[in-house]
Amino acid sequence: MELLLLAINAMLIGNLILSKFLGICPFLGVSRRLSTALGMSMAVLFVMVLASTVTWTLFYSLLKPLHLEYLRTILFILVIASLVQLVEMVMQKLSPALYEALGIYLPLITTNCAILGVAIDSIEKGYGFLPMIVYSFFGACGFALALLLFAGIRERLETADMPRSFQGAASSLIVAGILSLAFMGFSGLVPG
Amino acid sequence: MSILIPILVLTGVGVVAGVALAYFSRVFYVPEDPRVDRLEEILPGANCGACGFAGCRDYAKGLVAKNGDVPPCPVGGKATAEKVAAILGVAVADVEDQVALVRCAGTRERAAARGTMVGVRDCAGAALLGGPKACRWGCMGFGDCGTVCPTKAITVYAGGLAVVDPDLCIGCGLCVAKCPVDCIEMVPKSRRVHVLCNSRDPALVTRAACKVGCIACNLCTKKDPAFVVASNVATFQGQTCDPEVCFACPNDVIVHTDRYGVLAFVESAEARADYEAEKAEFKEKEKAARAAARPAREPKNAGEQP
Amino acid sequence: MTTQANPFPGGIHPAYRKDLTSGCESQPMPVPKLLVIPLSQHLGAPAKVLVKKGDAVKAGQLIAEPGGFISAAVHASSSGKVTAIGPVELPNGQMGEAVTIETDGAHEWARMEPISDPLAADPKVLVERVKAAGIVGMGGATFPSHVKLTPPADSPVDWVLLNGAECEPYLTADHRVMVERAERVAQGVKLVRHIMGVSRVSIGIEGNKPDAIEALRRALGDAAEVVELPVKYPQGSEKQLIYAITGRRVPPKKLPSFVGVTVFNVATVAAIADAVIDGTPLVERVVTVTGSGVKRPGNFRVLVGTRVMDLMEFAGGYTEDAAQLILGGPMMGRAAATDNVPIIKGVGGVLVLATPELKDLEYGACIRCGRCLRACPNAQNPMLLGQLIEKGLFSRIDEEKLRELVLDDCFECGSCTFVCPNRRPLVQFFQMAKGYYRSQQKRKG
Repeated sequence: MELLLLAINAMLIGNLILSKFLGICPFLGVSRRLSTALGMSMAVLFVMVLASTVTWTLFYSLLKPLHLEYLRTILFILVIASLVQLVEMVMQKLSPALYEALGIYLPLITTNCAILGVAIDSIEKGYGFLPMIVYSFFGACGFALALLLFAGIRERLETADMPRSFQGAASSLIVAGILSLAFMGFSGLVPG
Repeated sequence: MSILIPILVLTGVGVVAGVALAYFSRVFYVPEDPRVDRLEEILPGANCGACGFAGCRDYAKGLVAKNGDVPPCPVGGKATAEKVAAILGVAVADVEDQVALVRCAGTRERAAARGTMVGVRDCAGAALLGGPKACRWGCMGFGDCGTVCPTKAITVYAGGLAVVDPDLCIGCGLCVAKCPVDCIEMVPKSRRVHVLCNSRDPALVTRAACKVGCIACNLCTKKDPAFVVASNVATFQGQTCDPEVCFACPNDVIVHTDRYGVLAFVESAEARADYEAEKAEFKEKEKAARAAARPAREPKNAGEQP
Repeated sequence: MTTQANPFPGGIHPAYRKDLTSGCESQPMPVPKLLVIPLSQHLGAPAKVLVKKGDAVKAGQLIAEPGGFISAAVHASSSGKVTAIGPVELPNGQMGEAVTIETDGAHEWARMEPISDPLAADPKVLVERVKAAGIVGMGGATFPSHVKLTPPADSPVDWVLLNGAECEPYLTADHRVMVERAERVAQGVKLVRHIMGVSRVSIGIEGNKPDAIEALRRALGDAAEVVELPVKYPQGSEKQLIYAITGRRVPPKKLPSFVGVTVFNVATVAAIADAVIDGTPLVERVVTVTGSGVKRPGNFRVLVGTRVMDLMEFAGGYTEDAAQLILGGPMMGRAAATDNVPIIKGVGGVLVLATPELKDLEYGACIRCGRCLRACPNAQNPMLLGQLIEKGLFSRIDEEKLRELVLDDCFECGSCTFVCPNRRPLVQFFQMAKGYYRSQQKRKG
């Protein structure tokens, strides 16, 4: 039950993009086509769970015993960056098909603050191992949900007649704002 | 002392990550032909897809895979083809820089109308109903070609004709594919003389449909063999010719771009007036030369005098 | 016997305006001075011309033979002399080869030998005759009938439908054929039954033609059941008709024979009877000349190849305010830029609209009201497709997918355009996209 609530919280109520405003850069950058948005989402899902696991382990096995909690941000950046590089290399060798599908998004993820955000968040909130996995997995699902919704809307918007001043980035930002408002409605899901 | 611990920890993790990366980059090394990267660098990077590949990198891969045996990059032209050949170590294919040319001078005043197009105003739609002009081959002037042009080099002017700006045209050929009546052609950038008509109809039909149609009378081919008449329309296939050869055309469809730009020749009343004056002057001169030549009985063709 | 028709989803109720001509008995039009007979009046390969300039021809003489399996023969419609063979403008606005005949007015016939006791003859002989008579679907699709009469062995046909729906507004040509030539249609039905060896034949007629239903019920007897169809456009579309009568659904990209059904137009069946019983090839058809821009609207029996200008003259000419000429009906017909085009086997109507009937042609943006979604008989999304095509995006989104949706399913009935409150020319967009893909395919070779 606890985990279910956590999942819903991570995916909808505390949606990474639309209520925590993390990962806005890919949200605006790779949301032109539904297909690329899907690729990005899958890549984020994969990396987020992996990165959270690694950073969580590092934190509790290395930083906590040495009382170096304050180092976590800088250390996590280092770890996530090299991890993504590593994953890219492994993927290219072992699964060229997967690399074709996700490869071009991996370097972009290196700088995706949502990954770092989730990693730090699960430490901050003091999650155990299992809740951390659930949190990062469903957090990534929420990311995917928001990204896909947004990409779908943008694809439709492209066919719409709009005043010149609204075309392109302006309409995208307005839509993002409306989406964010819509997600605020989920905050009523959990009482209190 | 306590400062040392974080330094050590961070350095340690950094070193571990670095070593791991270095190690994995060897273990999981995937050989990729370095030529692909070099080729991609020299390609125009427009990702227009005119070569038939999905973007420049894909084209570079195709080049390497087939060892250069793919159609040349139409945008890059000769310069790119030479560099590609150098990298791949093959002979330079014979490519020339190309630009698009709308082969029609039939503005609203000159070409007979067939009907008024109502409804969706674009060429693809008009072509389904046979087009707004009596001529089936000419530019319909709804500007479908302009919508696909990546550099906005094509504009439809007041006379209802699309004209390509040769300075902006990168030669990708997307407009050629778009035109439903095939009246756009890729021509070498260096070509100075163009026959601005695309009508494959016989002379009588063409003449009825348009004041400035090529009627395949062969007067130009007699003056310069670089003009070729095929399927009822003349084409200039050389580099350049004597500007006076153009005056041979009874319907004024040959433009010499050293004298007038295609746009001016088609659209500008002043350029037309200039042309007519020049032509009249030339005809006068030709007549005088012929008159002078007759008593002397010298077989001399005045038209070929510079 | 009567069966209840299934209403198909979607569809519209335009003003039918059939009362202009539905009571007009079809009058034979005198032989015009000039006949322009195109070689490509059917779906498939153009016919190969057999005569040359200067030849004397007789009515019903074969002047061009089929140019392939899916092709049809072309006959001279009247006697006279061939004066030209060359490209002319066809009713669809494109250029095509045609044989021009200067008629002598004698209208001398050269018919084929009638087949005596056809119901005892070998079906193959009858199919050969249908092929030799150049019979094509006269509802407008002009698919060669001999091909339809010989369905592929892997999809046997157990039910033949006759299309007498004539759902297109204004047109009454089929209506008149059913009323005036009910006996001929009945003979044709028996022939088709015999040729295809099917036991079940149904004829679907929209309920707004009670006299046609009555006449055919009397003439057909037990030979076929007459199904009264609800009045709704496009009831006469093949797939919608099949669903209405048989309840079977033809999947996208499949022919009706896939579900064991073949559909013939009533006029086609009458033409089959003509060819077999009298030996007359298809050289004449009933054409409705109608609209507020015509002085004397009516139904006329017109020789194939008669120019629209001659036909209009016979129909009293244009009124003062005549503004637009449409070949076919108002929904699926094509606007013509000139009346110097010939009537061909598939043209059942000439419609002339006057200025007051033409509405403002400006169209606006899609307001996403969704009316076209409800009107589309094929359950497609005209609104989205129209926007994509309008913005020229059809090469950017999944081209294959869009092509499947637009090309293979939309039959251009125009219901979406009819209901659009912002007058968006949706069906014109689809025709454009189809034309674009056709030309792309042609380029690819």
